[in-house]
Amino acid sequence: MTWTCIHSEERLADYLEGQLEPAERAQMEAHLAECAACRELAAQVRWISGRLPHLPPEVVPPGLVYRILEATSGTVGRKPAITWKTVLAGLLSPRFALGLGTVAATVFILFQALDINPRKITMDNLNPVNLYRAADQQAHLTYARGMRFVNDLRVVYEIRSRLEEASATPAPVPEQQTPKNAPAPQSEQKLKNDLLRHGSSLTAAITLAGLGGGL
Amino acid sequence: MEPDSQLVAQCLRGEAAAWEELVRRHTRRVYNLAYRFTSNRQEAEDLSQEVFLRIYRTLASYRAVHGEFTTWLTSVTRNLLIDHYRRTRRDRLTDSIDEEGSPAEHKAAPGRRPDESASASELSAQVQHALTKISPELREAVILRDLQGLDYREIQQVLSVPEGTVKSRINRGRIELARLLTQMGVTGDRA
Repeated sequence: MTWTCIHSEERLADYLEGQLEPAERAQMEAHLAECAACRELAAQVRWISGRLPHLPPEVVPPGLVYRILEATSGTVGRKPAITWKTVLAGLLSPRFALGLGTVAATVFILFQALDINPRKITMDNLNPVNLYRAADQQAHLTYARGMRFVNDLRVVYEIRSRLEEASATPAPVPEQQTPKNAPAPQSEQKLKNDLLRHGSSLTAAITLAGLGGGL
Repeated sequence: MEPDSQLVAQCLRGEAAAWEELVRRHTRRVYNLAYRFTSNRQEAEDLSQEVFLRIYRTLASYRAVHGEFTTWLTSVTRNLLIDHYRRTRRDRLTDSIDEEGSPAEHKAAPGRRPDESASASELSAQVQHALTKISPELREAVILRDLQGLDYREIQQVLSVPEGTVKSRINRGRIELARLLTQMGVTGDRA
């Protein structure tokens, strides 16, 4: 069979996609080698077939989706119907869970601050006067605890600074040694007085005991 | 992402959000198919609405076992496009007579190569112009295969023609398109 330009056109897609049988392929290539028109056509088809899938898609006009929805279901802008499923889905959403956790934490903190036992809530707990008293009491207690803690800390830091001062002072000359029953040097005496003044503090007492051994 | 068949089932249960998702997911495909076929943005927009209206009304007739939702959607779109083509044939004939003799809007300078000066969007416009010149049977085959990326089996389902006919139409469509582009001076880099 003589391979003509008509055959080339008919089998062009198969040839370009590698679907031709070897014998047909050989005839096609022989024809393309001697027919410039078919050769150019094959090259142009190959080129445009390769470019078509990569052409940019047409941009959808803005608002088309809404117009379609309006024309079909007419649900644009309407709130969806409330069903048990939607309610449950809303309750299980992370945003709701986070909100619920925050509220629970706030209530817990408030109960602690107002000294209310959640297991034994009575109507008296909800009385505004009692709520005020409980809050006032808690505030004073918290303040007192805080002040005591600060005072303890101050004593400890003061002892430490005095010790650092004492260690920085040069050693006394042997000839000027004080007798055994002589009063302690002024700085040491002052330190002891300070410690005794804050003797109620457990931390200070412990520190004092350690200091006494050291001195 | 939920499969289309699941969204269809939710639509049939009356869930408006599922229908909205279907529309959002496929509007671009339908609009592009309509635009490539008609070369007219307003017509493509109207046809897209018409397609989804028909889909909405006949959603209950879709059966996932008979094929992908996109194939069904494309088939509905194609049928509407052909109906539209037949309805507007007389108007187009009048328009083409009026246009004779006027310089072609999309013609490129002779010998100009796309790689040198034409961007992808320019080539897209030139291809669009050439597509309007070929017969609707060949045009739809090329659009479905090369622009919409459907495989032969899907095109066979959409067009309801044998596979041999699909292949033949795609081949002839590409050849006509290539010739038209050559006449417009739009050629590939064969160096």
